[in-house]
Amino acid sequence: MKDIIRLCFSLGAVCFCGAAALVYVNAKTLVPRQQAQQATLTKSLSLVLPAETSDTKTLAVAAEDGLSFFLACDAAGRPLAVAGQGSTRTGFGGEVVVLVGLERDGRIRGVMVTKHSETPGLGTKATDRKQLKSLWAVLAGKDEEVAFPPNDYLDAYSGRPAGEFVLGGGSSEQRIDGVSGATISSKAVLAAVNRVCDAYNKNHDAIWAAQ
Amino acid sequence: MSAAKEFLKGLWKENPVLVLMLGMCPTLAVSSSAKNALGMGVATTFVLLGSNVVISLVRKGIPAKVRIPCYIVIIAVFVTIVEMLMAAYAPPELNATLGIFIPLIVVNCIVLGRAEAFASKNSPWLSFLDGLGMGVGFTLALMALGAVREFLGAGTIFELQLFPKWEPFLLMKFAPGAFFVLGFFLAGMNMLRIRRARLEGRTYTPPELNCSQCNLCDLGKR
Repeated sequence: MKDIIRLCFSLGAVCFCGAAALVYVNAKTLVPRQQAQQATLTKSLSLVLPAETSDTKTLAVAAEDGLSFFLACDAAGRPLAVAGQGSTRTGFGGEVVVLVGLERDGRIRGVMVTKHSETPGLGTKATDRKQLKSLWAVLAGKDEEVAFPPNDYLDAYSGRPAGEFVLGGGSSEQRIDGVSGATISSKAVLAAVNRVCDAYNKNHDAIWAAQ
Repeated sequence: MSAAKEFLKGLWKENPVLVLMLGMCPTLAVSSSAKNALGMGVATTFVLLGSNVVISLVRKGIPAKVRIPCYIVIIAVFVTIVEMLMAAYAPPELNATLGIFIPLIVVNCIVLGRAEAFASKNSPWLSFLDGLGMGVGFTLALMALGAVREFLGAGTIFELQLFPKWEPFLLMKFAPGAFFVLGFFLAGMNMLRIRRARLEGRTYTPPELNCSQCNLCDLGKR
């Protein structure tokens, strides 16, 4: 009996000290963790929104689960463009989150995937905007940083009016060709983009009226 | 002298991946690129250092019967700390790729193995060196595997392209590629050892797999 109490006490003491350490570290890193998350979002937004943007507002419109809209304003406070973030869970590795930049006339400025768990080398062909740098160019100091590297699949959306896109079908405005070998990832990106476009079209007036 | 030995043994003679064959799960999963391997190695080294030192400090206060749960709690605390620190300070891209592997360090056999086989019997200073050596050895082995796999699978090393015209061998990026490359590494290790033994005029005998590195159970002592 005495032995059991001693064992419980030792294990309890270790757990208590561990929990105390975690409480301390959690409190200390809470603000930096939120800042890191915010910095990632700000950086992604700056890539799909126009360069003249001086202020980005998070809108309360259409804020349902996994959907959010951001309004970009210039220095005078006039709305310039809108960015919509949408997610789907139908990716090959689960959740796929896209950020879609939309022009004043409802055309898509650019699409980028901000979060995914797709297979490297296969699914990522439909999600990643990654610039391939040459080792020799870097060593020679000749490499140039491209802020928004091209991706044939994601760039296919740019310049088209926000509507319902169809993979490999529909009218010429709706048709998007998937990446061979990455069909599930292509479909997931398409579904997330469609979700944003649908919400944008439904809430069009409310989004642009939000000041 | 003995201090330097404790550190150096993890690099080559008792390398956790290539000799002790511990921690195969993260080794196969994360060595798909050199960058991921480096991130995982550094995170594991931090956990190993912390858990080894703390376990060595409290080794006399913990009753033998509950030592394993106590070690797991201590290791889990360090892993959670690493997870929070990475979310706060690591580059977002690295955090996104390694995110799902970090909690798995809790069950990485290297960490528990060193706690049980070394830190529970030695002073904090020696345990620190042991953890550092094992961690660096793990990181180097993982990075070597990662560099080879990334080069064969994508034609890049640390995401830098070596040759403009390279047809990637995608299989190397997946689990079978990990097994292939690891097999060739182990064969290379054996070749080097056989050659060294021959130079010294003795016959090479491979290390026996008799659980002597680990004393989680008493099978090895029978």
